[in-house]
Amino acid sequence: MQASLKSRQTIGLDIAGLPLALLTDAPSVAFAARTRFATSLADGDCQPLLLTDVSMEREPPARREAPELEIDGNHIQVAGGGFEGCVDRGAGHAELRVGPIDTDIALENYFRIVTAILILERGGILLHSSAAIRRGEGFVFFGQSEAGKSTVAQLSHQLGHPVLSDDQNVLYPSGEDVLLHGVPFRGGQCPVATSPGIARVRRLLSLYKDSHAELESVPVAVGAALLSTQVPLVNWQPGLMERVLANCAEIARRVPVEILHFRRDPEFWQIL
Amino acid sequence: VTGPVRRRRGIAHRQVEGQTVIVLAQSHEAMVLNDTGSRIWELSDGNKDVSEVATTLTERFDVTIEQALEDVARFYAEMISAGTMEAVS
Repeated sequence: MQASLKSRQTIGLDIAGLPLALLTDAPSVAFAARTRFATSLADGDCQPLLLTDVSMEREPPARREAPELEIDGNHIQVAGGGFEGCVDRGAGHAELRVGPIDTDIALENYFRIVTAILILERGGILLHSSAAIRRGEGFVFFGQSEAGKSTVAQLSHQLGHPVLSDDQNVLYPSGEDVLLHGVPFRGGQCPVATSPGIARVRRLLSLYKDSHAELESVPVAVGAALLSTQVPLVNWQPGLMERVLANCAEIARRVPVEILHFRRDPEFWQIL
Repeated sequence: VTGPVRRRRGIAHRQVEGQTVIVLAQSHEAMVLNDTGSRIWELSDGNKDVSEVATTLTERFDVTIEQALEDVARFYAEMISAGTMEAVS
């Protein structure tokens, strides 16, 4: 009988308050996870909401144009660039296969999907947005690709406002407030260092490139609609759209969405 | 369209502060209906024809039956085109 030289490692993560963990016997997977999620490592001893067993495959799973998600009750099939997995929500367990190339990116993309789903179940949303903190309060800038999220992050950073992720952030209703959580997911060309953090949301701003800086109020229903189009990975899923809409409405009721007309200079901060 | 129209199954929608928000999964958009649109949406259960819906609108809003008929017909044409409603055959 040959003794196995492999040792299994459990890596705990705290992503926007979600206790998650991954289990692997592949050192390269463990290294990729510890590096990619360095700012979100947590004590692996606490009971995770979801434990993901990650295996390294010699042949990476086929690449997809876009992440794929198939939900059947508690069972969720996920696939994307360099990963394939299945999640059993009832058991709190998942299995994930990744390849040897860009393992860290595959892990991040998997955890983006998992986070989006679990946050939704807890009443929040993972919003396509950048966010900055000013005097302890959160300012969330959201919009589709090319709306200006990274530009705003860069301009905010120049003024000394700490920037959370420039690509995705978590919003949770909490009492009469909405809480903002940074997540360790970043855009492809993030111009500034980002970090997890928590703050009460002061303003919720839909970005609109313009020739001047101006704030435009919109009805709560319009705010909920604007938010619902920017909840990536889950918002167009047949089984999840109702929940996305409900959570967006709760958030928009607490913090009214405004449209921020802005141009490429930090002037917009003067009206916030 | 003159006969009954209904909301398509699986279309996510929600009343938010008196307005209806509808998610259009195919086009990855969301739309917000005004008061009249929200009322028509609510009434469109597949059992009432256009004239019945229009008559109900005249009871709630200050519109003539002719105007209401036109509004309902236009609304249904737009919603059916967007894939959120369907005529009941």
